[in-house]
Amino acid sequence: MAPKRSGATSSTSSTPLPPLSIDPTAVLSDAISFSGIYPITIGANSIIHPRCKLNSSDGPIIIGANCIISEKTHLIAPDIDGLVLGDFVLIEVNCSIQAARIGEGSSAEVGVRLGKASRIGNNCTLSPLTTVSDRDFIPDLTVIYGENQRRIDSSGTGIARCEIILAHIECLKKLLPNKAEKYNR
Amino acid sequence: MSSFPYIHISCPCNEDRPQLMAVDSARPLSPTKSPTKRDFPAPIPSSAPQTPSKRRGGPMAPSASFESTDTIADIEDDNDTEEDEENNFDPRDQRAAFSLFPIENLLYCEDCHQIRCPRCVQDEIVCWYCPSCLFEVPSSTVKSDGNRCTRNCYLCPICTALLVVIPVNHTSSSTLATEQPVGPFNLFCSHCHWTTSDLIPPLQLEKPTSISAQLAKLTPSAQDAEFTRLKQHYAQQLGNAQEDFTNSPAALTRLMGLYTGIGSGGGSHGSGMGGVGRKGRGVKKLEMKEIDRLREVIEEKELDTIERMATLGLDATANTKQRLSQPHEPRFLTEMRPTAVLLRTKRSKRCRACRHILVKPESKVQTTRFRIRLVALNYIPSLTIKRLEPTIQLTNLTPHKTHRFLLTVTNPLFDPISVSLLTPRYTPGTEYASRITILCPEFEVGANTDVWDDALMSTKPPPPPVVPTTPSSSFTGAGGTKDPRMSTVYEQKRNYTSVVIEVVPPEIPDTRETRIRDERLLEVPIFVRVEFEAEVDRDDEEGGGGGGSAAAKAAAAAGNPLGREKVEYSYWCVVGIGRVGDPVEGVVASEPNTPVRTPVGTPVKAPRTPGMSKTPLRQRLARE
Repeated sequence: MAPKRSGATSSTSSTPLPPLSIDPTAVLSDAISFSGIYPITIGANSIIHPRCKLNSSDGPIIIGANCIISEKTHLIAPDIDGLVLGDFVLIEVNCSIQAARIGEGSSAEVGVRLGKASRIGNNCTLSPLTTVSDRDFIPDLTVIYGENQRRIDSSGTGIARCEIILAHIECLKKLLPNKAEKYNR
Repeated sequence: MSSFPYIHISCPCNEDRPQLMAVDSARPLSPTKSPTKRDFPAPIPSSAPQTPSKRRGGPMAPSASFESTDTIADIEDDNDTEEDEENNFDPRDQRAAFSLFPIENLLYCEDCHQIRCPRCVQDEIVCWYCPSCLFEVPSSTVKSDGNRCTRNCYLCPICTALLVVIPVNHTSSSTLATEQPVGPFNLFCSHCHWTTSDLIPPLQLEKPTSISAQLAKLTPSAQDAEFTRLKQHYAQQLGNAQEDFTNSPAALTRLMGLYTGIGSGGGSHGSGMGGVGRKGRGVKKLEMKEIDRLREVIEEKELDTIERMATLGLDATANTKQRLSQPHEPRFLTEMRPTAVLLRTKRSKRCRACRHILVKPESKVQTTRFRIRLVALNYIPSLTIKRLEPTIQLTNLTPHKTHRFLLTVTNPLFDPISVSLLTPRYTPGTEYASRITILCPEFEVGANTDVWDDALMSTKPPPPPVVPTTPSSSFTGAGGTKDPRMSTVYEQKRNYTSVVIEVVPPEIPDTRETRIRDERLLEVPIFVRVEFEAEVDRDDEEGGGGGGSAAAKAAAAAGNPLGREKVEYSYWCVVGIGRVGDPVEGVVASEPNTPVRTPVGTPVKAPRTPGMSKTPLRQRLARE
């Protein structure tokens, strides 16, 4: 029996879900929209908020462990090489991510737009409403702030931020109802 | 210029400064309230300075005659002559720009019965506080320690976000929760991840509290040192001076010699430079010169700077804004220091003429309420304008075409008002005058009653119906010689009335390139005169906060029909309608005195039967 799909978009209900491989410890909330044909992998301990849209029409999506994907965020795989999120990645509300890779410990704040096939290094921070152009490469430890100004973060707070994300996940796990089995076949 | 359309109201301070000043001398006559009939059985001297277009009450008849007819006639006669004399307000006049404000920016003095703009109020600081920690700073501390937060609030020099204190060596969260974090500490910007360790040399704090004191110790700056020294010097001079005034007549000599160094002896007081000054006159002279001394350029230093720029690149240099925000004007990002948060103030505002308080905020920092807030919006009728035909492009008005706009007057008062709008036939102050016609310049606006009062209390007499000044024959239809809408209001609701205003702009050459002022800008001055009957203020002890009209309402509720007072006031406002565009073919000027009627269908939805317009408003509303 086909699993009942989310009510977020009616279009997905007519098409079959892409092949999903969801870690049993991941928390997926109600009303997530999966579309596309390539596999989508969600790592251990990751949280996906409601009304996210994951589109794997052009390539696979791989989400690492301990990631948080917030509401209304679109993750679109740019090409056949897919979209790879490292561990401890925080994607805030209303982002549009078409990047090829987001490195470990990076965070994209509210409303960030990542252009097609852009690559984000490890431990980067993208401030609210910043944009990264197509095929751009952001080296490790870059902070994009203000009007797309960049600087290199030498504060050495990467580990602390990972800890904060862990605490964040801990809290969300208590708050969010887990509907992961809904998407498991 | 703000986006079209805008309406700015002219503050009376535009008309004549000295008049306002002279009101001061008139104040002692009525220390608490404005002159009213009860206050003044004798006529107010006509020489009492009053701005011509702003009057309440006006010259009153003696012995408090409550027969209103005489006084009204007086007022009107008086007013007519004044208006004849008075020149039209010219919005293009250079002085006008200083007195035009949107109504939201204006206050209203209940005692002078005048609009007060930011130029004619006096600000008084109620308290100083830090916007980040919301700590109220006493004014004595502000005087001694400057206008920045002296606690732990610092801003990132890179991105101006607030800095937080974090330990330099990160320990895992489990130990953090149990025991106090151990130093050293950094200031960290959670927005751009700048830390004080990024500085050269790195700046690290020993404890997470009293950051200001630690920073002051760690980053000694020449400017700060200079300032402290000067402050000490002047403090001592001040102390000496106070002694001098009581004890010694030699003080003057000493004060005269303060800067020249001639009188530095000054008797027993010695030179005022503290320990340093004692060394002698030469040292002091040097110190005083230091501040405007020529800045010495050391070649090695400059070369070093250039070299560093070459190696580090432009990204490592501070931009102009960052540089100017720091007293030592650093060239490189690694020389920037955290900046303490600037304090903010809460201010009360006083009328400059009568010294009464117009705005008084709560003195507690955490509350955003106001104790007194006399904003003009609650006292004078506000005007709004909108297009009647949605096809009108405000930034591109067609020359020679009649543009119809809807001018709405909203009444904030609890009494119904009668409004007269006067406007020059042609816009003044320009050689390309546009023709303006207000179709119904005199009308009534209902009281600002409670919405529920209006709906529930049907026994209350309705506001006086609209009285069309033209006979009903004018309603014969659009084909007639007379405009069917002339002299009728367009819409009348609870406390607002809308009338139609027609504007015919001429062809205007585009002068934006060649002149400073924009000839194509279409601004229409309108003189608004308001008349209403209000209760005489009886409770003179009532504070300024209640509002005169509130008091009037209370009196009305008490059922006292006596003590009505005819109140009249007026002001100029300027309506910025739009910009005139390029001429359009087919729309040509017709004979000068008739506005061109362009075929715009039936632009006004006014198929109002004459009988209907005579029915009381309330019944008409009920019928709809």
